[in-house]
Amino acid sequence: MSLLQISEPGQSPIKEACKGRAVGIDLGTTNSLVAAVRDGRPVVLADDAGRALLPSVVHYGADGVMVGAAALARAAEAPTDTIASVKRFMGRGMRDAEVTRKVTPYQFAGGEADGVVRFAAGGRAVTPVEVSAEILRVLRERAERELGGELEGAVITVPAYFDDAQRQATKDAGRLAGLEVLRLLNEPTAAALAYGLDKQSEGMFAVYDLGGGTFDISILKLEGGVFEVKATGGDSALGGDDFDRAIAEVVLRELGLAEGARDAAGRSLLRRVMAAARAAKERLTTEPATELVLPLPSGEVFRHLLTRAAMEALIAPVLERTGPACRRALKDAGIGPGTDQKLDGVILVGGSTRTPAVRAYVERLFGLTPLADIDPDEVVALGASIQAEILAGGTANRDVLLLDVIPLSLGLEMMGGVVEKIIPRNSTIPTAAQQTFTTFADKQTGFDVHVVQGERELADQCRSLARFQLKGLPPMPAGMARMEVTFLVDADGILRVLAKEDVTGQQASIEVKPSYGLTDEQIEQMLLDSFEHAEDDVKTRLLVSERVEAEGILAATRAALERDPDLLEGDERGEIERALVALESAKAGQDHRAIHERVEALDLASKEFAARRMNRAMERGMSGRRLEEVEQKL
Amino acid sequence: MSESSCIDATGELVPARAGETHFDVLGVPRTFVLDARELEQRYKALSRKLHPDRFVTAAPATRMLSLRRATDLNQAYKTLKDPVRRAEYLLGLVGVDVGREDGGGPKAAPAFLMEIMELREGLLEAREAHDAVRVGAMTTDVRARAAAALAEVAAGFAAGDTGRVTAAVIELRYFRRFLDEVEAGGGDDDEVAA
Repeated sequence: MSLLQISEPGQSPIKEACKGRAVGIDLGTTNSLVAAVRDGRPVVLADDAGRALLPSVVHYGADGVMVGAAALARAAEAPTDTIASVKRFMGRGMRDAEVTRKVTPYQFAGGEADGVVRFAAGGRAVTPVEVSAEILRVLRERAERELGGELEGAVITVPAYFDDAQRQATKDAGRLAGLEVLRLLNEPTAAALAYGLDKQSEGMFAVYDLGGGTFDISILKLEGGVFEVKATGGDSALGGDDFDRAIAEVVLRELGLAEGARDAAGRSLLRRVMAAARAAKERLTTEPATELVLPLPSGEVFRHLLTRAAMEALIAPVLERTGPACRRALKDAGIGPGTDQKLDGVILVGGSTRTPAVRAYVERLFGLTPLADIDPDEVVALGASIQAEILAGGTANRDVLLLDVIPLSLGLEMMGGVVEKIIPRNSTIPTAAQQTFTTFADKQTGFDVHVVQGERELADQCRSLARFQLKGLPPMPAGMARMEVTFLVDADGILRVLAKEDVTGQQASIEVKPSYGLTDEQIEQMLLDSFEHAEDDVKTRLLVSERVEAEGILAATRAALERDPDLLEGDERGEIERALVALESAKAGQDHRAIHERVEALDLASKEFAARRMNRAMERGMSGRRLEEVEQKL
Repeated sequence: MSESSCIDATGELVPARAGETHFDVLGVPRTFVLDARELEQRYKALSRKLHPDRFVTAAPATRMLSLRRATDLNQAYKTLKDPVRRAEYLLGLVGVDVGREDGGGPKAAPAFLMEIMELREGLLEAREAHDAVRVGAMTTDVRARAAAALAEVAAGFAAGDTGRVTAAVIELRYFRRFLDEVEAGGGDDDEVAA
């Protein structure tokens, strides 16, 4: 039997030896895990002490680098040398608000020209990618020990909301840790995979993922082994930490600490109140009531009886903030009133979904009893391991395929700072958009291209992804050189740009400068804003484009009046000039409709004059191309 | 299953050839009338064969080809699954440019535009008066008219009359935009339970 397996056709012996050694890694903000498919079933891999969860903490000490629980233990005594929550810094630059806001205990090393974040820890400068790589290295070694040999590759999970720079940084960390990164997988999609295969489910499913500090919602269609993401959304500044804060607020009020007096009370007391609140919340998962006990610096002990009902009232406002994103995702997925689609199930992911009030809320929101029978802390890593096994050519789930989407729209900055969306959010990846650029000056040899990600209408309100210079065009008259640019988003959700000069077929060179711009929270804020400000944005956009159009028409009409005055009849000049003045004044105003109306009025006033000019142009036997230009200008 | 231009008889990936259409990519006849369910099944079956997930351990050139072809497939499916995009695309193939939704291309008849403006104003008024019944009635009416315009698109294609199709497509766009506006709601959208 074993002989037969070894000589299986088409399989190299080396590949065969690695089989089953592809892993799934959940690189979390608070904890990380590694899982693998063994004997056809996904399992999490534990360390020597039997612990599956590895705290995502790295300590840089004089005696070397420590990762996990040992590093966490050093956090109090050496806060600047111990990096926690590094995930928040992935793909971020020194100018990002996350870094400059100084909410972290870290010290940053400055002076590098590349703008990449560096922590000053343990007497050296380390980047977030390097810190994450330390965590991944520990997980890799654990997996190699457990699985008995070198790994074939890994699937690493990322929040669905991670943008291009964050995904790239995660991939880099994997490589740095000596892992072959087979794929980056969105966390909710990984969870759906674990559930879908376990339950053999079919239909439309929502994945409600509430972690310590982030919230993700995804809607998937499961059918015949294909997991198709229909829509995704979220809020990464919302999580279980907000529940703790709501409970802590009550305690602080009872202690007589108004907002202003808290700094004086000391950070350490605040931290202990938060810890007590969290502990009480966790006890209330199984008990109807609990006593919150807090030893005070004075030696007294503060006691507060908290019932589950009281806690639920406290956290309800936080919970309700997840509602709009869920409703929007359902709508984007085409589910709800007026459609023939319905939801078949809801999957719970993330430690915060253990709270009974969360489950009750989700049940009310979706009208379905949520599924929570796979450990919400492990489900993402388990799903990732299934995908890893498939990608590495395993046979356990040969027919499974994931079709994921791009979470935020990709666009290009156009004249006037307006964004032209080239790939809308929730497009299935891989996807691409072609754009043709034409030169506007003689002998122009390149273009500056600015790619942004987000839902707002103006470029400076979206996240700046990259600035490219497309260079190497042959010098030609304006409008002759055309460059065809393909923006391609691959299966990892990472952007690639391919460019080709159209006339000569010459490949153009591209310089990609990733622009470190914003935080995750800001991106989501932008998405939320885009719905709140949608109307404002549209107005601004229309105003900008109407003004550009008015500008063009004003200039063209004036030029025509100058060039062919002999073609004017009767009071035509007077009428046209009155329309010009009216348009000029509308253009200075804020009302895009007024501009539009007056453009049309000018159009009407100059219509016959334009027709006569056209005739003259034709008589002069102008080329077709010029004619088009004349036509456009008139 | 008729053949997709993305794979050959042995299931090997094939690069795009000049003049390839979305219909070729999905391996379906070049016609307006397509069964949505069948199209989805075909898309998924082809995804299984083309998706980069299937070529993770392949040579770089093959991986790139898979990325390209999976992208082509996604674009083809996105275009053909939506009847309006499908109609626009088919018109484009015979040289009729209906332009983009936000300008350019042929315009609707003035009388029709007037009607749409009145509908919009009616919607605004009904909203301001919180008259949900009237909003509902208008929505039902416009949905029915959108369905009729869609039928007209199909009939136009059947008769080989691109002028008829173009007119119906333009009307359909206006109806859709109206329905989008209804859906976007006057802020009470979040109150509607899923």
